Amino acid sequence: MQDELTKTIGAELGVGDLPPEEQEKLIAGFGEVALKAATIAVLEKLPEDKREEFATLAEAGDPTAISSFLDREMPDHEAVASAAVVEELKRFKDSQSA
Amino acid sequence: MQAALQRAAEKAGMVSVAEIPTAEAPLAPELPPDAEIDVEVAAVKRAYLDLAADIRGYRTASIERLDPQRDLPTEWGAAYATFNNVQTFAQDYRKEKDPTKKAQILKKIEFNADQALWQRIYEKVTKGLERLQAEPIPNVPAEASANAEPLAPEVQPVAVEPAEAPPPAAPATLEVAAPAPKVAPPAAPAKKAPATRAKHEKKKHTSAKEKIASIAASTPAEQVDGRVYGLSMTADEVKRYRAALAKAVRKASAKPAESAKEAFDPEALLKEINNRYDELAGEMKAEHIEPAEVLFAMRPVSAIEARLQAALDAREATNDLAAKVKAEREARAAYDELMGPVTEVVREAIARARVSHDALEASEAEGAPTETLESPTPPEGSKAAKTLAKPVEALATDTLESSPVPPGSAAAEILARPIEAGPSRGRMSRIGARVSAMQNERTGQMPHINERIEKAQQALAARSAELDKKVEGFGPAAERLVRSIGERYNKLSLKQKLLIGGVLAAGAVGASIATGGASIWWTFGILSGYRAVAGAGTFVALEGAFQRGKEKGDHWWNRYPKAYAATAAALVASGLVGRGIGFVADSTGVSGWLKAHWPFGGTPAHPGFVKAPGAALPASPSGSPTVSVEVKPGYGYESMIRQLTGQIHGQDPSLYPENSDAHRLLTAKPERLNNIILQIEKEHGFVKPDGTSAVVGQGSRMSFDAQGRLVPANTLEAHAAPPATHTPVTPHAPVVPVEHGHTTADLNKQELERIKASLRPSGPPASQLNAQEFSRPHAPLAPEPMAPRPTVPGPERVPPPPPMPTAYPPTPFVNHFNVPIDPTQGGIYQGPNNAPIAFGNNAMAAAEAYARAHHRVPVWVQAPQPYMDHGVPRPYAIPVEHRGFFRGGMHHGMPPPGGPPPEWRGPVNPQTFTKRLH
Repeated sequence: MQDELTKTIGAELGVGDLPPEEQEKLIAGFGEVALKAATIAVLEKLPEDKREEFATLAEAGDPTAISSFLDREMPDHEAVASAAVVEELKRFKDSQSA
Repeated sequence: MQAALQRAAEKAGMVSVAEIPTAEAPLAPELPPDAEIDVEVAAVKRAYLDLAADIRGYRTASIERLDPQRDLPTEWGAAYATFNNVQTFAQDYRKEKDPTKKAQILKKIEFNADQALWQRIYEKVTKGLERLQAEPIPNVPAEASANAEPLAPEVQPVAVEPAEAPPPAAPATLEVAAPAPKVAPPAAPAKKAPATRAKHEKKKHTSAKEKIASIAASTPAEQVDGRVYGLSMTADEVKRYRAALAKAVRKASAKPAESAKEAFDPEALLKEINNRYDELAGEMKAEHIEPAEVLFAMRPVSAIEARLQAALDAREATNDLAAKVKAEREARAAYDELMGPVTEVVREAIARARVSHDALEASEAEGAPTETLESPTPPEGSKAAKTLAKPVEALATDTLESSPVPPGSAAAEILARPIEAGPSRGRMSRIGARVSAMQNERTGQMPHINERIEKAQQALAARSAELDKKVEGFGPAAERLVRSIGERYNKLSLKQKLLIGGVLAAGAVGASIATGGASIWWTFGILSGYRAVAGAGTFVALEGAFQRGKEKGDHWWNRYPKAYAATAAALVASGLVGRGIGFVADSTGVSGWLKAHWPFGGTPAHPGFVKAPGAALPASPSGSPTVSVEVKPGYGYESMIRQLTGQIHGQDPSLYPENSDAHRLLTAKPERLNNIILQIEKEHGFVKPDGTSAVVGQGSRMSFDAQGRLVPANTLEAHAAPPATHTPVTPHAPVVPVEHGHTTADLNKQELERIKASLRPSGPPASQLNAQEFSRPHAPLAPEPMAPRPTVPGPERVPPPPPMPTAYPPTPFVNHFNVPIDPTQGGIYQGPNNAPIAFGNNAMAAAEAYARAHHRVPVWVQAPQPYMDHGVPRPYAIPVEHRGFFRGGMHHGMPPPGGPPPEWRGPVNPQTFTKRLH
């Protein structure tokens, strides 16, 4: 029995036909790629002199501080990050159907 | 300038600037000395000059005097590029102020100064010389040719033994050297000739420019005094020349032999990687880790392999020497990373996978959900508890730490298995084949499913490596951040990864229909072990709901309730509530609660939260109801605030003054609620500047006062004056237990009774105790409570709890922080400063087991014997730390001769433990 959320994410990743346990592992693995992609997308748009500050905040891990910083420096950061994750999801799915 | 050149030359081991070549590489401008890199730079310069001299020391039948650049362009190019690199990097290093960048440049210098690298260059040059020697010798008399030994093709050295008085050096100019000399070869060894000559000529030169210009011509060829080999040489002379040549070549080839093992050899690197992979795969198989997890845990290896393969391809594809050197450097770096940190990461993943696997098995077998996100602690006595120690013990064996695969081991078995060649040039196909074979053995799954899994894992690994590459050029901080994501991610448990992956993927799924953003930055908090993230309040609440939905069967959320709850919570927190939360609601049966509760409005009726009888909330003087929440085990200020937020949900915000805590919580947008709570916590000092939570004292209670301000109070300090800045709690405010069972207050009362009882004199003071008594496991003796501090930088030290007796019963009990303590069994607890502390019987074994599973995290354990302080035995704790398989393994801190450092002193006091870790 698989929950709906995993099922949906698995389908979005193009691995919906795999056993649920494998889907979970792939979802877990996808997190790293998605997070990297989103981070790079934001870094790409951040002014060069702000990248280090962002990196410091991100390494510290305080989500509030990160969000506050990005709200100030890059108001559309969430859209940028989301787009990057969606792109990664699509890329991964395509790679599975190729 | 001349003085500078002279100084530089002397530093490099030269006796004269005359030895400094100009044709091959110009000298770097005058630079201030820097001891840190001088040794490397000098060594490279020496190697470079030696090589130049060596090459010039030979001639062939058709070339009177070899010129490195002209006659060995390919082989010499590597030396030139490497030497040039060092010069450039040294220049950059001296100019650079940023310590991080300096360190990076230093690494590059060290790489180019690597003896193994120069050994390879020497070998290439030797081969080049041999190639040149293979050319036919013109005009050699037949007799001489007939008498000559059939030696392997070798270049003729100009300098030969035996030692005769060296002839006077010819003028060191290109013009003089050009005509073919006709005299006997020089007697001095080739490599020493330039130095000798330089000494001799030193006084004659008047300017650095002239001296440098003479270098190209100052080769031993001049010392042959016009005699061209092959034209008038006897057979004996030929033999002597060749013998001397063979000796010289052997000498050159035998340089830095000690690092031959590390010489760059692509095939050897790949073989080593294969061996390492097989070794790790064997370990995983021996640990019964699921085959798919092998691939998963092996992802760092795969990423490294991809890097190495790309570097080797690049090396093959180019003829540019500098590019080749760069590619070799990259390949070497990837290889080193694999042999060091990456292997360690994989081994840690193996240990975690094993622990997780056992915990999961136990959970499924016993019908209990996994306890926590961070530390799955199976029930005591369960299968998992019995097997938890097994993997770490296994990991400590010599087999795992030694490189060779033991005969008959699982790794050897895997090695012996024939591998089908896949279409991919990389080793992933081999990995996949092996893992597939393992999986088929274990699960009997269809091969095509395994291929799909393999393909998906490969895609992720390749993409991850690609993204690492992509960030290059964004600056060192950005590169560091992105690469560290991978490193930190690999250290997370599967459940934590699942949480992140689920949140991000679900966010992406929902992004197309939801408004707002993904708020992925919460995930950085998880990566960094930051305090409660992902909407912890909802997390906790949902977890309860999921657990209660367990009867629905073996659902994912039953096995990972917190991960799933956090996923849902993060969706809530991020505003992506549309589709994602619908799944949560529909699939868990908690839709009633979700729809009724924050942030959806409705009646607050959490099925797990039962109000105390008659706990209707009385109105406060201002008309707003008074609510409160009391601390429970595992709760922090944040949880308490969230509970309060739930209790006031639905109230009219105007009941409270604007900008009051209650007003802000009531009016907060769902996606900002976490921020608001954190802000409020900071304002009240519940969160320290470093982001860690302040300790919530036992008996703490929190409520809103009439002004909507959060008021913390402590029921155990009823007679203490309340903080001046806070309004006291309404005296008649009812305590509303938020869950069934014993409340903290109840536990505190029991504990107080026990503490009072234990305060009665029950034994001799510490000064009267002897060492024998100290040997009783972990019996605290000294009056002052103390918890050891970690030696590594960590969270800010939390102020120690108020003094309390250190006596404790020998049987399991609950300490002042409501943490169950079992002195009869070894366990790992969290001290007040967050340091892990081993306690109980076999505490040392528990400490070592924990250390094996948490490399480079010191675990404190009470030393078996006290130290003597002016004749009085006093207890102290020692750190036990596993520094990694390549850093010496397990390390037990030993106090210096003068006694343990102050921070080690004192007894391990279980009353100060704030949490059980393992």
